Amino acid sequence: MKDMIFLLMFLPLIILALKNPFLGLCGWIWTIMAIPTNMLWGFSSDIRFTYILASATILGMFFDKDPLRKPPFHSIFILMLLFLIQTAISNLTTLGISEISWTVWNDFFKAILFSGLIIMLLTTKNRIKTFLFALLLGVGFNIFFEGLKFLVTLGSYKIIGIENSMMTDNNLFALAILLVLPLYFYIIPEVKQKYLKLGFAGLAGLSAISVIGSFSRGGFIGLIIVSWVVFKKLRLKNKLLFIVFGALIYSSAVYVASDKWEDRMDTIENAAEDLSLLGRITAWKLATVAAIENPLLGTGQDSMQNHQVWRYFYHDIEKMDFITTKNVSPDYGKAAHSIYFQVLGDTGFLGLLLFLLILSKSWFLSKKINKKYPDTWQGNLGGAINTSLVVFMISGGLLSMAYYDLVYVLIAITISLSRTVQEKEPN
Amino acid sequence: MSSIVFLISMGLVIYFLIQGDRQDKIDREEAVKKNDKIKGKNK
Repeated sequence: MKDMIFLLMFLPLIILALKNPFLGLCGWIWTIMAIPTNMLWGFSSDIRFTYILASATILGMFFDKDPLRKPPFHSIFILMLLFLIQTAISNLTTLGISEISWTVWNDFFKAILFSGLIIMLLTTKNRIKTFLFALLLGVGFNIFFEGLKFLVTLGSYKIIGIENSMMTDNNLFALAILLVLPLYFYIIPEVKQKYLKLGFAGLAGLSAISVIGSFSRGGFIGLIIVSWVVFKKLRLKNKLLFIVFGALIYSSAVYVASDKWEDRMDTIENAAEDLSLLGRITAWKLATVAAIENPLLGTGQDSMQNHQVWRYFYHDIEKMDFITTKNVSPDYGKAAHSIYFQVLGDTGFLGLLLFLLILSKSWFLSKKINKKYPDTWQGNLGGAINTSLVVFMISGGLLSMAYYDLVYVLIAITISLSRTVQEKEPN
Repeated sequence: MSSIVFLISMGLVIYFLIQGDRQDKIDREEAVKKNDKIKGKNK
């Protein structure tokens, strides 16, 4: 029954995508973030909804004579394409299992394709706003349930991530939440209806609870950053409200999470003895060794997690002995647990340079929009994305999420934003 | 309960898309007028 209702509701999305491709893009991001297949158990659970919407959107673009569409040429997007090519060349000479490297690349290709379509189609305020609604409702659906389960079970429910998505573990889910949290704070004053304002404010609160409930240390650091940036921007009256609600959310979440949570966060202070952190530092050392030996191509995407590759580079780990932390056992491969070392190991120094250029240029662009157009929707959204990028660059330092589609989506929205402000400027 | 919230979320998305489509029609018409104006000036 549920499958039937879902299919009946999904049909208008396909029609809308064919009729007006920007709406297809909005439906597409909703399916990426909400993961409808996790909710369906019947005949429709095998249907590839994202693929159908993507095909309808691209097909619609061939027939729709859209006067608002623009070419995707922008220096940051060109860097994204170069980075995509660099990862492909690295995978051609992968030291790991070719199939795994190309699976990662395939997802990354889709993220860049999606970003290109955003730059082409999201060219007006209405389009960007509608896209944000779809994105926030999609991810909000998962935040709502995970946060609520954590609260209702008084902290005994452990948030472990969302199946069939890129948010498959607690750390990745926490980072995804933190990337959208500034967007919730942006959208609340933008909506006119009171019930929607309340709904988005509720989701922002549940986002904070979900991050605490994920027991992610990187996530907790990110939460402090977002809270601080949001707090700085508020007016005095709202600052007081923020402190009251923030304290309430924090204390209730920490209270229900009890000792387990405090023990976990205490390990941030005792990092030198933490085996998990020592494992990460070993992975960072090995990624650097791999890049020194393959400076232009690296080892191929996700290769460093391969046991054989890990052991191969472990023989040369003494090259990194100037970092005196203890190395963990060479018996198993470990993820880089850092976007920077992930890219360094996967694609070498050239790939890392491209990756850093994409991040830094996007950061500067969003900052510029925020500074140059204060108190406008573009300025506020630029500021929100800028905060998301800061969180990604800091919390991402402890997570392997360099190819995460949501980051490239946010960068593409920044490019779209920069174009809407350029149009308003007198020539 | 999760099914109801899921369908509400989807319903809201469709609502926003239809609203977005309405405004987009207006934006498209304006863009066409603007383009015609520019073409007229160039002639």
